Amino acid sequence: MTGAEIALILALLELFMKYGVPAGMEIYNQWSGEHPEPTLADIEALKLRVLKPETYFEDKS
Amino acid sequence: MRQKRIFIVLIALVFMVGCANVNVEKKASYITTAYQTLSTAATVYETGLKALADLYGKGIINDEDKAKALKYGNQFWTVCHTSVNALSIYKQYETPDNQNRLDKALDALTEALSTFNEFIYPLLEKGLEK
Repeated sequence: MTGAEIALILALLELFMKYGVPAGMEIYNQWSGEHPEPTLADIEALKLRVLKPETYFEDKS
Repeated sequence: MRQKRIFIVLIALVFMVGCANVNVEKKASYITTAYQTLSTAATVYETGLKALADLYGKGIINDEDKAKALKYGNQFWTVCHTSVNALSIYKQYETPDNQNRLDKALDALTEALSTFNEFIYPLLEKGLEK
């Protein structure tokens, strides 16, 4: 295994741990088991959750 | 390279498998399934944009990439909110017309998410290479 491959694997692990695992777990939880039918408030809450894309870049300039 | 691709398509695969399975044995209600689909799409969108914003903060992607991220992100945001509205109306008035509107909104959502994902994957790959 070359140094570049090791670096790539480490970068992959870093990114996976940062984004892949939480997102994967969240999606798994959304589909696994039984879920009660969402209420109107649950549905409306999705609007507050899905933010405009600009929001994510606000503190990154 | 193959490992990277595996990671990059992971979320999309989970999304597609999740939508395809749709709690087959438990026969979840149409409303529940639509809500789960929307919620999963929101997770993919949030995760993708958080990753891109981090890459932008580190200087790995440029202003042009950011502008495109905003463009595709806004397209998704619009159809996502349209879908949430359609689901909200269907939840209150379960009519065939409202179900038809919700179906169309969810189709548009899937298409917008697919376009968004196609755009972000190469940028995430760029991030992995740095």
